[in-house]
Amino acid sequence: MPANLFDYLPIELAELILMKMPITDAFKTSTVSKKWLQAWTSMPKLVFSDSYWLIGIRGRKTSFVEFVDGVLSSHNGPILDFQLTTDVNCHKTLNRWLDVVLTNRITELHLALWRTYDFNVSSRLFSCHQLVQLKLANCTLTLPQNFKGFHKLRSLHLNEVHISSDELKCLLSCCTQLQELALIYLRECAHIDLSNTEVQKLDIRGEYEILNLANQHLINASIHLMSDWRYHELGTILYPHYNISHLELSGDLKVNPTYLRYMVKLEKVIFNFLTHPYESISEIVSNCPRLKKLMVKGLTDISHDLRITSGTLESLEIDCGYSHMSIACPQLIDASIYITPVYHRWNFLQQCPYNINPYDELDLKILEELQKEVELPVTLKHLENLSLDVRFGNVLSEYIVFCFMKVAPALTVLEMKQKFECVAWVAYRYSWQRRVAWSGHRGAGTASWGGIGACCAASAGVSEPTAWLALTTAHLGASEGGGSVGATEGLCAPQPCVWGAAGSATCGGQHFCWALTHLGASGLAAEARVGGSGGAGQPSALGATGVFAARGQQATGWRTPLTWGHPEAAALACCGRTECCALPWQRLGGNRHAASAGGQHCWLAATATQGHAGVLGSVLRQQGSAAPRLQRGGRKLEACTTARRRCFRPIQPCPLPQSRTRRQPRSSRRPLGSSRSPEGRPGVAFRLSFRQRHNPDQPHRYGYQICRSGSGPWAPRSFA
Amino acid sequence: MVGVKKKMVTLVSSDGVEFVVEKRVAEQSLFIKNALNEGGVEEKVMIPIPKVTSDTLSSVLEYCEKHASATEFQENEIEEWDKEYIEKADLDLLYYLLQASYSMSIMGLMELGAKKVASLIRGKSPQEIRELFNIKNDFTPEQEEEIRREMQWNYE
Repeated sequence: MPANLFDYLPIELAELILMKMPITDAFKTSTVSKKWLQAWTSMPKLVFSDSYWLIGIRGRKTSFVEFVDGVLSSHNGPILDFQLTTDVNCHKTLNRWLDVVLTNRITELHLALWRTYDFNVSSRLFSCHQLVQLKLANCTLTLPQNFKGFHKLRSLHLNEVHISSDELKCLLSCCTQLQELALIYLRECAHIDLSNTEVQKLDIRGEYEILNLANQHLINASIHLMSDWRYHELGTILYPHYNISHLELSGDLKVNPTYLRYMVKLEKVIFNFLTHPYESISEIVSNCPRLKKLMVKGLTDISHDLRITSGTLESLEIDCGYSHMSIACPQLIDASIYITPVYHRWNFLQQCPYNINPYDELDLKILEELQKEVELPVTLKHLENLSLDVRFGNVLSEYIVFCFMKVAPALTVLEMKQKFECVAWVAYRYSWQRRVAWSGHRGAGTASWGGIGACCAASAGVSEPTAWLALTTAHLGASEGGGSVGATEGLCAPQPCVWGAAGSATCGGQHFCWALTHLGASGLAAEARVGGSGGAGQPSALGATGVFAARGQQATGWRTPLTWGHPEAAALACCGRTECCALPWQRLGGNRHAASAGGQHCWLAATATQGHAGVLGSVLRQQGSAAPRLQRGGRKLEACTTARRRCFRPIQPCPLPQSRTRRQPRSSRRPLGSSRSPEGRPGVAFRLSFRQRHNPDQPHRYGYQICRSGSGPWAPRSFA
Repeated sequence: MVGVKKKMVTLVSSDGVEFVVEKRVAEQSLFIKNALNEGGVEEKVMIPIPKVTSDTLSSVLEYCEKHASATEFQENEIEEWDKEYIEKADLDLLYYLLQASYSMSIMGLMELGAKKVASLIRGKSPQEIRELFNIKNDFTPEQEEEIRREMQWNYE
């Protein structure tokens, strides 16, 4: 076996390897050996971008322009794929490069210019007949008189390209193979007609006067129209061909239900930022016999009803306001629901207009009546993944969460998240009222991660280290790539408990992890450690690592992790003291491997209400080592076999926070479970806790309890 | 499986070891697919795989098997599997996998291997790359000096 294997690498493979890295790195290999030099100079794909050019600028002797010039001049193979993103605005330079690149071999060209306004793409472009993909941004296209079309072009993206209506029409009509088309803010184009094309996938954005987007091939359309005065009617711009199966609508667009009746092939619909299509949504849903996925986003009008009744719908995402929502979709598998925080309606208890006096016993009848804001008439028996935007600290919205539980017996993954403003608000409220400063109010502003926010709120609210347990967020299951919960030990035990939580965020390629935080937190006794890290090295995953040191000495503090996906992240400490100390960044054992070792499924949620105690609902499902895989609805999910089942005991009343001066020395504090009456202050503490029923036929069926505590004796109430 | 007789193919590695695999698994390789199509009759086909040793071939077939049944898995599950698969290959195996995927035309594996090598190369200086892969510097000092001069920014 030869020792220097890589000397024998075929040149094509070397080229392939070089194409897998940024061009600056690929370039460095050119001096490794003759083979690599050869591979470098014949590499068929060149991707230049000056957005990363500035990175590592220290000591760099060449400018971006010199670099591109150098590469192009030393290149001696055909360039098949050329991609350039630059803010170089010298026309002469750009033309010099394009002269080299625009040959009749090139198949793919991406040209994104950001600082030129009138760069006219060389007419040589129109003789590149091998082009399969063409993406242009921010330049001018002028078609030559005798242009015969790109006969192999399948994908065309024009982003803020200056092109007239007539020229566009000509371009589209003579590119007969075109399948994918993106027309984004073509300002000089008023008229777009796709009726004679065979475009299957369309992305259109901007402001256009006349639109005719329908052709019988169109199956995937994303339409975002802006308009001051003209409202396009969806039905008419797509009329009469309705073969569309994927439709995304945003901007100003009228949707007339009568046309929708004909769109029978729709499978996936996304509404975004539309102003008034509530009736249409219900209409679409009930008129589309194949609809599988529906997303409704951005509607801010809260005075409407949202009724979703579908026998086929499998995935539903509601991220908008409504006054009344009804979900009757028996086939639902995934759901993400925004539980609207109508401020005047669902507020914290003391502001609640429905006469729920926080000092009275919580009347469940009242809650149930109020819950009609969200109606769940059918059992969601296939629902496995549920994500809820909920206002923690709001009993009514929490109650809805539990109503969802009630109708979803197969639920495997629950994710609780909280909207930015809510978290900030909660945080602010608690930090103000409870005088628990936490990581500064700047922290409140950035508390966009539901988990942390609610944790902080909870910790601030409970403000007592001996008996609280707070964790929002879930979704720690193995069904999510890379996310799983590590070891969970003795959550209710008065001993140190260690949590490992890791997960990758659901929003893979995005920059932020809005969706969730995988954060474990527990502080029942002396100490709890929280470890979490972003999974899979994705920059999007929020890695959170922290220490909950519930020792009564450190106050709540957390810091936003700035380095996404790194194991070091937020440190979180909690305690009842008023001052805050944000722990320094720490690198704990929160790496993914450590955390995913346990292979357990778990979710729990806890919130605080009233600042007196935590409304706390929590479920912990532990997965045995021999977890069978279940296949349901075409998806594989790790099912929970309850190998060991640990339910939370009904948690004893939570003591009220005490002022600092009254704090007892730690040693004399009572252990968890000993009821302590609130000293000198009236208050109520109630908790919701899940209890698994021991019913072998319905292993996932939960009942729950609401318990009230306060000055009176512990008074549990069971229902459902 | 009872009743359904799966079509099997025999692959022979360069060191003479025979591997009997399902046809659909073997067809992950375009080279084999073409060979089968040309052969016409697929019963009891023996396909020699030149230049691929039995060790490498068994690893390649592991990949093919997983990807032949890729539709049963979720997308990210396959990705995870790929990642682990390529992670556990050492440099030698990585090289042989690349070489084999190239000669057997298994595009996915080729991409995967190339990506892995690229991730090893990224951020390293030419000398470090040479050391890592044991590549001989076959430039004469004059040539190297010339390249150095031409491509100054390489040695910033």
